[in-house]
Amino acid sequence: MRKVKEGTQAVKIAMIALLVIILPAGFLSCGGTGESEDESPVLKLAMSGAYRPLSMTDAEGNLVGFDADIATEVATRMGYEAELVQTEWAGIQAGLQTSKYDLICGSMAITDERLDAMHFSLPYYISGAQVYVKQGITDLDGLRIGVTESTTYEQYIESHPELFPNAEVLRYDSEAQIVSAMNTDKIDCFVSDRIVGGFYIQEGGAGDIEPFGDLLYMEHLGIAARKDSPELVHEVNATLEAMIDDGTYEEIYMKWVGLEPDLEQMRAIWEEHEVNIPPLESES
Amino acid sequence: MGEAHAAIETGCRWKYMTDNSREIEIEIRNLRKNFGTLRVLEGVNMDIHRDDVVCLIGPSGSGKSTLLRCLNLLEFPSDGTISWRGEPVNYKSMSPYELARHRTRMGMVFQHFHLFPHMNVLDNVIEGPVQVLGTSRDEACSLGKDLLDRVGLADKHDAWPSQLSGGQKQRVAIARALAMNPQVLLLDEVTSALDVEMISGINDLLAGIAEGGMTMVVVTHDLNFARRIGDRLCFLDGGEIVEEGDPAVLLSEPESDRLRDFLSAVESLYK
Amino acid sequence: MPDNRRHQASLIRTASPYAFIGCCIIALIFATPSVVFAQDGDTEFITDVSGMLKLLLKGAWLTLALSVITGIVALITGSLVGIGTSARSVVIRSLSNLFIWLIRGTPLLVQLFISYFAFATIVNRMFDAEVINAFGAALIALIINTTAYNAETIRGGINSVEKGQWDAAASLGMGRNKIMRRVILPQAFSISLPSLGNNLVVLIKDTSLVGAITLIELTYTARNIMNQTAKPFLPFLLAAVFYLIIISLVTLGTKAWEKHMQRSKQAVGGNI
Repeated sequence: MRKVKEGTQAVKIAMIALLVIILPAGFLSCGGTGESEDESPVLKLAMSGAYRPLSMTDAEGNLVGFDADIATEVATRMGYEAELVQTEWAGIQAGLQTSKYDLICGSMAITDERLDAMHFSLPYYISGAQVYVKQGITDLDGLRIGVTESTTYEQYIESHPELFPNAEVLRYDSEAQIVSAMNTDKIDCFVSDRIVGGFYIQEGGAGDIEPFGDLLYMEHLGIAARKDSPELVHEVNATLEAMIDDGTYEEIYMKWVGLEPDLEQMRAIWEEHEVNIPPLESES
Repeated sequence: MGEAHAAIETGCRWKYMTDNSREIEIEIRNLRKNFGTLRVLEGVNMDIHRDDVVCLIGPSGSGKSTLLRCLNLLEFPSDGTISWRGEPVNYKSMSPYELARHRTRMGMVFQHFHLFPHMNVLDNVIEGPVQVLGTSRDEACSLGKDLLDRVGLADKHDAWPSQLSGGQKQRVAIARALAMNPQVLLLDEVTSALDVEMISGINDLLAGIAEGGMTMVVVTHDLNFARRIGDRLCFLDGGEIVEEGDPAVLLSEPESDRLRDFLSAVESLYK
Repeated sequence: MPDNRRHQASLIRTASPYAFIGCCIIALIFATPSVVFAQDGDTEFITDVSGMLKLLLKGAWLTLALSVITGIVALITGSLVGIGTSARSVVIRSLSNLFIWLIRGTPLLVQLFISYFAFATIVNRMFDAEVINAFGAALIALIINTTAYNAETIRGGINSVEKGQWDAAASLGMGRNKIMRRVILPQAFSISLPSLGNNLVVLIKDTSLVGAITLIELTYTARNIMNQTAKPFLPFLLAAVFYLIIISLVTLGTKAWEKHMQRSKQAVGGNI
């Protein structure tokens, strides 16, 4: 009886010890509270990390890419410490609405529908939707098309069935999965961002692909905020302007996209979006 | 009879209070017990006197075990009265404390032993005194060891129940019941699950305890035991006491047909 | 028959709870270095298996942390709820059974989402600070889920204890609570141990769902690696190996504990 008791005691002590050690470590390892060691407040920005080269993760698991650099630069200039949060694309809006983070800086296209639910900054880059096919394909009839769910591309395909006759549309979590699908012959073509497709052509990661036809439509990508934080939008806009003026924007763009940005086009488009800037009002 | 002498020798050590051996310990009037629509006990009347060994016999389903379990309130009667030394037992509205106190007056030994498998033999025996009576562990241990010696298991204090034979387990069960210092011992077919060669050992042990002045109520199929140790025999059938009286008399000259039939069916097995 | 038993005994020779503790410590040591020795430097992408392993180790740490905390806490809370199912009070009994029914009847993924998007959000908004982060939300959902399954197991264990034990203990004069504590629960727990170990194994695999609420555990890390390298098989294969190692260590531990509890049942022959 004694030995049984001793054994059981030992297990109990071990369990309590484990609990005490692991519990705080676990909480700490997953993002901190509002204040960092530098005493500057934290701004959390979300992106998917599955949208190469705009948003991806490195060998350490950290978020890197165009979106990541823009996010970090913007936050730092605004006086915050940037905390990048990796979130699945499908749940990224829900996370914003439930205050899991403060901004989405993950190549989110500005659409009227989305404007109903959130505020957007002025676009921080311009791109377009492009169809990419396996080399050799000459027409879009009866193809298996891959697309990421909850994207403007998915919506476009659904609303323009005449452009994709007899198509079988397969939905994936991310462009990265689409690339895998291309490589494993699950799809013949996909619709995605021009920059993303261009990256894969250059890198060769998706096999032999080529763009098909012209851009389907232009996209203006903005940084999204909740309806209750219009002041963040104003700060971000001011910061973006500053970054363009002093050349930082061009630097980051070139680093990841490999081309020079068309700043004039951007400024012209900015004027279009002036109307969407939310008025600064007291929080309600 | 030689065995009985040996039993009496050891029996002297079982001495309990024995003045007034005709006092009534337990009085039962009109006891009924139903399980749903099944009527098991139909108005049983019984007096159990101090130092008596009352044997309950009868066919299966006659309610013998149920009657026994009503005595220490493992079953609550549906109707009727139970009195302990003249005081009525209010089983319908007892507090848990009173219920426990009632049960500590009676020790019970079961057909299938029901030893606590997660405790060794000594711990089984002292569990009652320590947990219920508040006896200190040391005191309970020496009491327990003494009891185990007396039931013939002096060298088995550290054994686990699963390591014991049936007869040994029953001895532990008896020691466990006696450790509570009960006034009455209730025995529910305690040898029915044992191999034949162990039965006489247990019967001798029980004989010794009875000789020492313990009041016992014994449900049994063993008519030899009833004849040898019993002071009174009750024959139950269909939930009521059909015949009762001196064991020797009843077993040799049954009055009722039912008892006669029962005996002829059973005696043939006990040769 | 005796030969089998001897064989079994030699297989689990390290039959003591100390083996269980040892396994846990080894697992922790295994997982820690990748967290402590993180490197700074240029952005490097995963190019080979060692890079994958490093990242997977990080994910494994989170998986382990979630599993250990949930496993321990849910053991206690599950026992309490399981005991509650046989309580005297109708209220406690009903609440316990309701809880078990509700939680077992809804998918863990849904519970995770509710914990993360609904519960955590409400609490955080109430205090205007991040009181419950993703890790906390995941813990809450996992603990509640595993509690329900443990409770059901313990409930079954309590019911498996033969009725005669109640009789014997009651006839000694023990009250209901005492009987539960001294006689029934020790036996129920011993009976439940294999199933509880099973629940633990299921829990460890269930942690793979928390990637849906932004926690970068083992499975999500594998998906990430696949996303970055377009290699679909290797990361998942490696992740599977990690799970196998963790679960094997845990199984060793629980089997050792079972063996230890069985000491009282070493029969020479004959049962009750």
